[in-house]
Amino acid sequence: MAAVTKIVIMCCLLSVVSTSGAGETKDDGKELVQFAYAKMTQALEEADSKVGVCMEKEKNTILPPQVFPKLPLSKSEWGSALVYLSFKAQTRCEENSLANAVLAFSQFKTIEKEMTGKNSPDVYPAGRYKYEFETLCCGSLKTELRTEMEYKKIDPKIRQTLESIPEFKQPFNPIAALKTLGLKPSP
Amino acid sequence: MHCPEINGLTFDQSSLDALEEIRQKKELGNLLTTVLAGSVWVKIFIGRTGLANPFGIGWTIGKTQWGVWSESMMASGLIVSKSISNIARSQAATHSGKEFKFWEAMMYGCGH
Repeated sequence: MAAVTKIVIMCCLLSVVSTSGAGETKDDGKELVQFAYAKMTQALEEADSKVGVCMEKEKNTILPPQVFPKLPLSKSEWGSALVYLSFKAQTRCEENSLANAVLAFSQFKTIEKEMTGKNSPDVYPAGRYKYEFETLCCGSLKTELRTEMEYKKIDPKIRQTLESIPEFKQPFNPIAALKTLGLKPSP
Repeated sequence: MHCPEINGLTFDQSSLDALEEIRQKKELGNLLTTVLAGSVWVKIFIGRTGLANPFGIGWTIGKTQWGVWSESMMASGLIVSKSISNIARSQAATHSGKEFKFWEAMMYGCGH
């Protein structure tokens, strides 16, 4: 009987050692999940703040006429080019903060599942707002891809000229730019 | 920018696709049942036959509707607003007339 008891105790101990892995305990797991959650919250707050600052800059930056070179572009090519370049300038201004938030969100979901065996469906990326993962990652993906496809149809030399203009590397209002070029009605 | 009063607004297929891209955001879905409930925006986003309202004439979007829209954008957060602004600028660049006015006002909101 004593031998059986010893075997049972040994089995229980082995089971505890094997489930806790390399020094992990249940409490460690909880702490890791909480830490990943805190990192995600911070990354999202940073992204939110950067996006706000860059949008405001973009809205208020109306480029003067002398910025625009004389190029053999049609009205729709100018539209694609300025919208595409405004997307690029926006991403540059945000300094990868959205990408960092997406990464932190993915890391949180991964560690949460690894430690608890499931993802809680009601946990959103935290912060002031409850953003969905799809919005964080790909909020206007179709539009951005279409615009890029159109832009890439423009002669590479013309694209090179456009991309070398410093004003297009900073946030600017692309619709105001089209108005300056006389391609959209001004108020 | 000032909020444009737009009467008789109808949407072409490109605009309808863009409205659909916006509508797919779950955050907007929540707003349509709260801040935007009962407004013309619900009809535009959910109705989505889009070409005209049920009476066969275009939509009318006045200051009040733009005010409600701006309020909903503030409630949805900057990252949602940015996504919508990106979609709207692309549409504004390719449209003229009433649709241009609509998408331009959607881009950064209006009246503030």
